[in-house]
Amino acid sequence: MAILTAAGGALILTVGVLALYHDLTGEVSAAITTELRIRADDVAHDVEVPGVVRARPVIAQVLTTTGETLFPPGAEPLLTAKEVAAATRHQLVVDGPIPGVGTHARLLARPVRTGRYGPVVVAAATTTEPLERARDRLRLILGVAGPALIATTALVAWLLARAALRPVRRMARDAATISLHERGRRLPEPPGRDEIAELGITLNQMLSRIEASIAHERAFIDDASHELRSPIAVARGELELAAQDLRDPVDLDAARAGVDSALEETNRLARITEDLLTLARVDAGQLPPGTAACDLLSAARAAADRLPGAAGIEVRGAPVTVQADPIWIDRIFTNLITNAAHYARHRILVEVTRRDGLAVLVVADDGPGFPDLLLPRAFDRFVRGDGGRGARGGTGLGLAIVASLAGALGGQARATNGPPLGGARVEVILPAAG
Amino acid sequence: MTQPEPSEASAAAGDARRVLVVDDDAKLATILVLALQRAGYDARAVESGDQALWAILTHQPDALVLDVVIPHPSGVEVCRHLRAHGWTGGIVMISARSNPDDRSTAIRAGADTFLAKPFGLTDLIAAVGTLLTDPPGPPGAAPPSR
Repeated sequence: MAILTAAGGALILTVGVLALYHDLTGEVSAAITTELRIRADDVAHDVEVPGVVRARPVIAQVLTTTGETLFPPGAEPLLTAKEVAAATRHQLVVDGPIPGVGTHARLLARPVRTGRYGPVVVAAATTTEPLERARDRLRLILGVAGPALIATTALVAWLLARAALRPVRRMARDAATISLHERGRRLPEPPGRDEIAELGITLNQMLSRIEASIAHERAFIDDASHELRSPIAVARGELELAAQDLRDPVDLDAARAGVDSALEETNRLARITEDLLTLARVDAGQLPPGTAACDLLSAARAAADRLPGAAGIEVRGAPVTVQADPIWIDRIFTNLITNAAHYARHRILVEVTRRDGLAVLVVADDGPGFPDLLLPRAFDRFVRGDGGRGARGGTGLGLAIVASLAGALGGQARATNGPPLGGARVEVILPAAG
Repeated sequence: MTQPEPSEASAAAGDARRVLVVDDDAKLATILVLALQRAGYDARAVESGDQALWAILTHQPDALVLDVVIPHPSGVEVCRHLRAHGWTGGIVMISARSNPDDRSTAIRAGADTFLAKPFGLTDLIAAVGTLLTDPPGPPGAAPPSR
């Protein structure tokens, strides 16, 4: 970056120096031409006045259109026949050696119509030695001082750029050593409010977000590990005790009870595993695309009918269709109704309505509702309202799956307490079809 | 406080070493207590750190089987508190989490040993036995039943 800055500065200075050289020499050259033109005009005027042709300090001639010298009479023409022919049509400027003028000279010739001699060619010539000397001097100065100036400019630009980028280098050095296992470590933020300070702040904010995400993932792994290992620990313990019960003295009833308990834990482990796999598939975007038009009211009734004690579940509303895999819709209803059944005292309400082009599913119960502290985390994984980790009611993943599926289907889930039954209320909103 | 009935053998032997199991997983706690009772210990279980601290005062166990993740205070906090107040009983810390820091945290808090779930009941009995040098209950007694 510093090298680019230095190179850019050197390039700009070089272009500037060349432009200055071109401009200066061009100005001087134009001034010479202007002077010649003025003198040519003077000569043209003097041609009308007999005996007077003033040309000092410029050498001037008046020629006929055939190339003969009118003034001064008998002088060697300054122009060749070809140049005379050109000058009868337009103004002509020629640079080069001119006899009587010098090695570096400029001649200007232009056509003039006079009263006395008719059409003539007026030529004026002057030396351009001053111009050449100026050019040489400028070339010498720029040739010697220019590179030194350009090099100095490049060096200063490089040093300034390095100084300006020092905070960025420091940030890069620290960033290379930051490990995400070092919680709370951040990059040094330069003082001030410029772009580099803003970069430091932005990078530290990004580190905070990454750290939070990693902490969230670690917490999930810890929770998942606990939830998976606990039933395994219980099943193993039960089977070890049952094995003891089958040794002398044999206690078949105790052994049988132990095996039944181990089987129950194995089933629970299977449910947790299946739920985790479902969440993993949804998170990975492996949810099958909408393959069918699902009538939510029918799906709600089917899920409610499968639940033992379905008599206490009221399903009402209007047919509303969504485009989704029927398996996932059934999973949403099953999880919501199962969760409600776990807490309801007497009643569960399942309602399906359409509102503003959206399908709205509501499952409510008359139980105690979500604990206040739990409500903001109702859809988090492994969160239970029934006593936490020790309870063996659900897997703690039912509502998390509902929220993930709703999100994958383009909708969302929301949990509240209160109406219509005074207990928990979970609402799922999905895009309606048609 | 949930607990299986103390075994006849351990109850009869008044000098049976007392072990307190602290785990909010009621089913697992029951299994661990039963296994300890069959090994001749006077074992009972509680579900939380608060209950554990109270039970230590009232029942004066010789050793704890202490889960890391329990309702307030946590197993590590209970361990740290006990050691800070000079409690010298044996502590076997148990955990079902996959956090690799749990073992070192538990040992730094004062636990004598750490077992990761799922562990074998024989491993638990061996760990408790190592901490309690006196032999467990009288030989030949019938093992406690469920």
